[in-house]
Amino acid sequence: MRQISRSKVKRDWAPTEPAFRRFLDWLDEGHDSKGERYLEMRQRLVRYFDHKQCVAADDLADETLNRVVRRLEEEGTITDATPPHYCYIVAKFVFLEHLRLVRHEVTSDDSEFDSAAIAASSSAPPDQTAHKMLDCLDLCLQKLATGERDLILEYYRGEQGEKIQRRRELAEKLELSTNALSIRACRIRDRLEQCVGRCSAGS
Amino acid sequence: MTYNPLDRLLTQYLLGSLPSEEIERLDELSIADDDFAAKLNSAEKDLVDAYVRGELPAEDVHQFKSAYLSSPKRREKVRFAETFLSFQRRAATRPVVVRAGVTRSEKHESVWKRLLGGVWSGTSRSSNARFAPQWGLAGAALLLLIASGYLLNTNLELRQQVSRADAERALLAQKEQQLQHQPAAGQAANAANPGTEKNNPQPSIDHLKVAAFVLMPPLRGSGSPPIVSWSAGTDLVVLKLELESSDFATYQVVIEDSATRQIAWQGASVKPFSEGDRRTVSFALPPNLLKPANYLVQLKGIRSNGTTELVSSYPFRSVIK
Repeated sequence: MRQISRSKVKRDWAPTEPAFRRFLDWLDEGHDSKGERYLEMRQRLVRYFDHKQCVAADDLADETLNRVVRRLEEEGTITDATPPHYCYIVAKFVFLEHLRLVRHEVTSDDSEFDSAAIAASSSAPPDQTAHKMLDCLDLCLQKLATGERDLILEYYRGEQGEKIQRRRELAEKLELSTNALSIRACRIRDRLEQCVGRCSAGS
Repeated sequence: MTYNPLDRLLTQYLLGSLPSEEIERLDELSIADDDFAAKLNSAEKDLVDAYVRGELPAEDVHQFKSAYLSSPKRREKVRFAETFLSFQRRAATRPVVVRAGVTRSEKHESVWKRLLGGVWSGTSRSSNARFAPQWGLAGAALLLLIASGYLLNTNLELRQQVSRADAERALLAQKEQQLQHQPAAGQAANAANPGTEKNNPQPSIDHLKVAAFVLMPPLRGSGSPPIVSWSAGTDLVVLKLELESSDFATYQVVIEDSATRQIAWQGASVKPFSEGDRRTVSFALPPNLLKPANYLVQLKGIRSNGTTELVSSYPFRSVIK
């Protein structure tokens, strides 16, 4: 099932470099984010498809972005919605198409998943994997600037009840709003997570 | 933001336990609304953390296992959270100290700027003096006064030294870069005018009027850019960029006009420095290269194969006093 759905979302069309640049400019809405906005939008789309239980979430996110790039290339501009909103509209269509394909092709046996087995496999990684990930985390934390390392360890430390107060104090100490602190902590954690993922995969 | 009743909606959305119309509404927001997307990102991390810490209510645990864990990507997030928790528990015996950062140093900077007549000095250091109570209140107060005076004076000197060191370092880096890029021209000029260097010596750093500034990594959605202000008599503007991470041995720095994209200055091979627990990149440029406008400093890490990778962009507004 997974191979079928993944291959079905691949399309022949690929954006040209000028088309992709135009798309980046359009997505940035006048503020050059140096590609950050694109990465963020892709991350949102991947999460969207992933939450919709799509196995090929990355491919569907790329397909969505490709369609937006193509539309921009054909039309020159898109004015009927803001860039993020337009991406959502396209993503919704891509998802519905994908759903039709999957319903059409997948047998009933394939469509079921054993949630208990998944839960069991995820809750206790084998010792070896756990040790490797821990070593990788240690390594990746060392790559962070000290301030970032301290921030992320402090931000995610402790029990749920005391976290709110601690974060408030941390935000005051760093002279940031709690919202800005949260965004900063999330960005560091995302980077850390990617670093640990790459490291534990052996790359 | 945190896993608590106020964020119940986000939690329910992440667990897939909302009515379909509500899910669709939040689906849209998760892509189309920056603020919501950021909150959702944060809430998801807190939810996963709460699960691995065993802090989720029983009904959420069931939903978490049956819905959230159905995706390999999300299972990876849980694995990371488990690893992170193990790390934190292992490190629990060690105290964590978080540096006061960002704007505090900028505030200190402006205070020291006034004290030092427009020349900025670097890192702030807090000093805690503890005195034994048996000296008595009056004695302690007197000692505190003397100690404060001494520390203030020492701190002033230290800051002046740091400022000079920054400017010297930036100048040396700049000179090294010029030599690297114009060796032939330089040699030819020296050969033609052997006395030139002697007749036009570089001004001593002690006599230069330097305006130095720290630029922090920008936050998404942060307001107006920081001001880099300098007066007509300023000889050199020193910019110090605080690095978010230290992945590269050398960096390329490009300053471009935010509006026109014209490059105002660039440094080809700038080395980072450690200052206590911070990693910074410093460089100096003549102020006449900057006009009153918005600029963007693009910091690119130079890989071993010579290619570059954009590390961060630091916006600032140049203002002539």
